[in-house]
Order: sequence, then structure tokens, then C-alpha cells
Amino acid sequence: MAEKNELNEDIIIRLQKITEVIQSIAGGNFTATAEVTSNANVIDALAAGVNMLAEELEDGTVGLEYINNRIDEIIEVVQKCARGDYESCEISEKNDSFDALCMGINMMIDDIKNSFQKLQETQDATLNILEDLDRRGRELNDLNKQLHQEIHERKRAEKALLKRTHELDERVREISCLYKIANLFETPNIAINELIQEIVNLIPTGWQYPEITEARIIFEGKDYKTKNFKQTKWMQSIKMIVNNKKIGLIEVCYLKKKPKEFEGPFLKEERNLIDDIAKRLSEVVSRKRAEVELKNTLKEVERSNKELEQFAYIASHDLQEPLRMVSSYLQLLERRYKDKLDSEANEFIEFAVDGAKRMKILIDDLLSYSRVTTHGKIFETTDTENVLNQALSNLGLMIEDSGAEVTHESLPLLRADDVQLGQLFQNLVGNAIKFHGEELPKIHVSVDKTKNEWVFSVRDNGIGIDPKFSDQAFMIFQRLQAKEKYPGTGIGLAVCKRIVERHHGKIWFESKPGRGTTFYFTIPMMDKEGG
Amino acid sequence: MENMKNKINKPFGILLVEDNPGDIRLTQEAFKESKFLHDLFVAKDGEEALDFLYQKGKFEKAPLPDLILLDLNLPKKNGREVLQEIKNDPNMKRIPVVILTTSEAEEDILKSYELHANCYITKPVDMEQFINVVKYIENFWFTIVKLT
Repeated sequence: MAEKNELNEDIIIRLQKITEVIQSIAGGNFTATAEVTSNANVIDALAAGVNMLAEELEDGTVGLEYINNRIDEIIEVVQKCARGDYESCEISEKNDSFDALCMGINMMIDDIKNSFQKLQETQDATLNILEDLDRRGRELNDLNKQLHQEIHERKRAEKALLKRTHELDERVREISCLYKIANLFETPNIAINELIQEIVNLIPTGWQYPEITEARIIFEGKDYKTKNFKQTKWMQSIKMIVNNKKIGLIEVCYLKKKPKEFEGPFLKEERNLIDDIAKRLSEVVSRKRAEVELKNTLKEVERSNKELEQFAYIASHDLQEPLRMVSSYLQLLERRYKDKLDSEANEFIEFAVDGAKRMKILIDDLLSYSRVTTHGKIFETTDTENVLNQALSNLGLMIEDSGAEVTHESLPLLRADDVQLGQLFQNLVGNAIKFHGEELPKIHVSVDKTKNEWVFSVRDNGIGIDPKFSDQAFMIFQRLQAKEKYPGTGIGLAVCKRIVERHHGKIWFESKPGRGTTFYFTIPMMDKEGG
Repeated sequence: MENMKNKINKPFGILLVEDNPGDIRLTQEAFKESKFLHDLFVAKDGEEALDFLYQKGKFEKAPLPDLILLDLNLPKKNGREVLQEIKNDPNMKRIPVVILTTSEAEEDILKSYELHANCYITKPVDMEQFINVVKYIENFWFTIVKLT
């Protein structure tokens, strides 16, 4: 900058010098000259032009008028330039001594013009920068506004979140209260009284302010309540209802006004909660009651079953003794006094003895029927083929007498009470022989395996059973044939049915009267027999 | 031979342990009809039966029986206890014991107790069967005699 100023000062000094030369020329002194440096710049050109003019005037090459005109012309251009009018601001060269001056002035004007242009450009650039700055300022402002908005939003969201968290806490409390109550419901063998008291104790934990919440359940005229329960004006209550009948009442009270209150004394959720508890408790209580009733009924059934067993024992033992006395002494009477009695008396005795005998058989049969369930053995792996063979050997005499042919397939191992299974085969095969037709009895025992059970069958060629008796045939003391032709009490199939049922199976028959009968029974397979 | 004759001439001693007078009488009547020489003694409860066997009190001179007919339902000491004592006594455990039961069902239950009775007989429902029981005992007696 200093250098530039120096330069400017130098230029001003030189211009002053040139001005002095021009003034001396104007004064008629044409001897003065301006210094021309080796820099060959505008000033040098100006100086050279002035020097040339002075020389020409000295020599008298040009007249004064011409000079004056030229100077006027030059001055006009310079003035124009000074006004800032740079357009067509050029002095024409006329091939005279002014040309150098003109050239210098033109160059200067060019310089000024350039500088001005540059200035203009700088000004434009500055304007652009300012505009830019302004724009960015506005943008910044917008951003700032946006930021404020965001901060506001965020604060609002935070508040909402806090509220939600609080509400969630409430829900968690309600849910964990319900969960604990549900757990109580599942407690095995819990007595109803105990259950209700525990629930009353749990209720405050589900409410917003457990420390001031108290509860009471009234059930079957009994009060179950929390320690400090008393009725207040901040109370909600609900009836426990089963099958449209009120069975109890639940009350929840705040001991004092709630610290904060948005809606009523109780939240909507708390009203739902007490509803839920009442509903569930009603269900559970009625279920428990049903369970107790069922248990009592079962006990009653058990008791009556035991009584029946007792009865069977009495029938077998205590009833048989007097029966034996009657028949034995009647016979003794007969043996000792036959000759002294008439034939009618003997006939009467015979009827009496026969009655006593039949009664004994009935009693024995009844006993063996009841013993299927009362004296069964634990199921063990049993070879049914062995069991059948044992049964056939028990029937040996009967088979021999009847000329029966009994065949069988190979039979499986399964889990059963072998004694009862043997009795089952013996009864079925025995029946097949007993109720034979005109041909010699042919009996075949076979087995089929289904997905989960064994299906045994005992097929005969006997007299057959009318299918309309399919249920009756298995009833105790139900006889389907004339007693005279086929003796027996009608216990056999009833015992078979009881045995099969004890093995969780089924028994039935298919028959065409006169063509034979096939009895079927199933024994479910145990898991491990499956393969 | 002399020895055997002696044994045959000696009456066969039977102890009936039974509390029911009807059954006692029936048994006595049935034995009356048999021809073989026997002595039928009666004990009316378990304690009396053991007194008889141990020759205590009024049974001081009672002989040790050759056979015991034992009912199970007895007052004071029941038949099972009596049987257990007999079978635990080295002098008496050789005496055959026939258990009298009321039904075949009861017989099954008794067998499951594993009492070491020699034989179970269901009390007969008529006199003829009773006579058969006596005959059975008669045969039994002859077998014993042959064996000794």
C-alpha cells in the first residue's frame, strides 16, 4: 500500500511537472521539458508527448490555432472522462505531435476505464456477498425457529411419555395384582375361606394408592377384610354373581381423598379391575363348591360301594349260615324220619332243600361278580395263550364230554389280571360248549390287532343268540334260555363284562340264531406293546 | 401187623373247633352215621381249643387229636390265631388241620394269607355233602394208618 502511495505521489509529482511544462508552453516558453523514464508507462508517454509539442512549437512546425483546437479537443475528452462517461472516450490520433499526448491520455482513460470496471466488478462481488450473507442470515433464522419448535415438541413428548410411564406403572400394578390373584386360584386344595381372605389382602396392591386402600369381601354372611377397613365416601363395590344369583359383595375404599385426582375417586381401570376380580372369584368359588359337592358325591358313592361289598360279604357268610341250617336239618329230618313221613311230606322237604341249594348258588355267583372289582389283581404282563390253555384244561371234562373241538391262533402277551382273563376265556368257551347245537361244538379263539387295542374273538357253531338281546345278555342273573334245558343263574356273561370293563375294554357279540355266535372283547394296548 | 391192629382199634381223635351249635350238632350227626371208630371233641372258641391242645384246666386228661377241624370265625381267639399257634408248636404242627369255610370265595381270600392249613373245606349246604366230608375224613384216617 505504501509503495502504491509512493507511486501515486511520484505520479502526482510527474504530472505536476508535465502541467508546469504545459503552462510554460502556454506562456510562450517552449524550452521546458518533462522527464521521460525508462518505465515507458502512461506518464512517460504523456511526458514524451508534451516534450514533443514543446519542440514542435519551438521549431514552429505547428500553428497556435491548430494547437488550441487540439488542446480543446483533448480537454473535452478528458472532461467527458472526468464525468465518468467512458463510452467513445478516445482522442483521435492525427499524425501530429499531439499523438503521443493523445496516446498517453487514451491509455490513461483506458486505465481508468479498467479500474472503474474492476471497481464495478468488486462492487458487484461485494453486493453478491452481502446478498448471500443476508440469505444465510434468513436461513439461520429459520433454522433457529425450527429448533425452537423441535425443543418444544420434544418437551411435550417427554411430558406425554412421563404420563404414559405413570399409566403403565398403574397397569403393571393392576396386572400383577390380577396375576397374584390368578395364582391363588390355582393353589391346590386351598379352602374357600383362606382363598377369599388372601384375595382381600391382595386387592389394595392393584389400586393407585395402596397405602390408603382397604377392601372387604362379604361372602356367605361372613366378612373378609383388610386390617383397617372401614366404609368411606370414596368407595366402589360390586356384587359377585353366579347364575343370576348374588353370592357375595366386594368393596374397595380409600381411607382419605386421593392426593391427585384426574377422574372420579377411582380410575376406569380400577373399576375394570374390581369387575374382573368379582367375576373370576365368583367363577372359582362356584367351581370350588362344585368340586366339594363332587368330592362329597364321590365319598358317598365310595361309601355306598363299601356298603355293597359289606352286603356281599353278609350275603356270602351270614346269610349262608342260616341257609345251611335250614337245608341240612331238613335233610337230616328226611334221612332219619323218611319212613315215618308220607310221600307228600318228603316232597315238601325236597322242594325246601332244592330252594336252599339254588339260593346258595345265587349267593356264590353274586359274590364272584362283586369280587371282580373288589379282589382283582394288579395287571401284569400276561401270556394270553397260557391263560387260554389253563382255562381249557379247567374245562377238560366238559370238552371231553361234549366232544368239542377247540382251536386257537397264537395269542399275544399283554398286561392284564391273568386270573380274571382266564375266567373270561373259561366263561366264553364254557358258554360256547354249553349252548351247542345239533353238531358237535366247534370253537375257535382268535385275535386281531388294531392301532391301539387287541380284539379277541371266540366263535362257535352253537344255537346262537337273538341280536335283540345284545344288551340283556350281559346283565346279571339274566337268562335267555329255559332253565330246564340250560341250567345256570345267568351270571357268566355279567362277570365277563365286568372283567373286560375292569381292563378298560368292551365286549359284544354277533350272532345268527341257529348258526352260531362270535363273542368279541377288546383289551387296550399299553404304550410299550405298540410295536 | 400187631402194631397196626392196635392203631386201628384206638379211636381216631378229632377236635372240632366251632362255635355254632347247629354246625356242631350236624358234624356230630354226620360222624354218627359213619362206621369207623372215632372220638369227636368240641371246643367252642379259640381259647378253649388251645386249652384242649395244651391240656390245660378241665382238658388236663384230653388226648392230642389226630385231626383238627377248625372254623375261622370264633369268639375270643379267632381261627387264624389258633392255626398260627398250632403250626408254631413243634409237638402239634404235625397234626393235620382242615379249615372249614363258608364259601369258595372266602377260601380264596384265606389262601392268600398263606396260612399253612392242610386243607380247606367249604361248609356243605346239605347233609349228603356233609356225609361226603365225613367219608373224606375216614379215607384220610385210613391213609394215615397205612402210612404209620
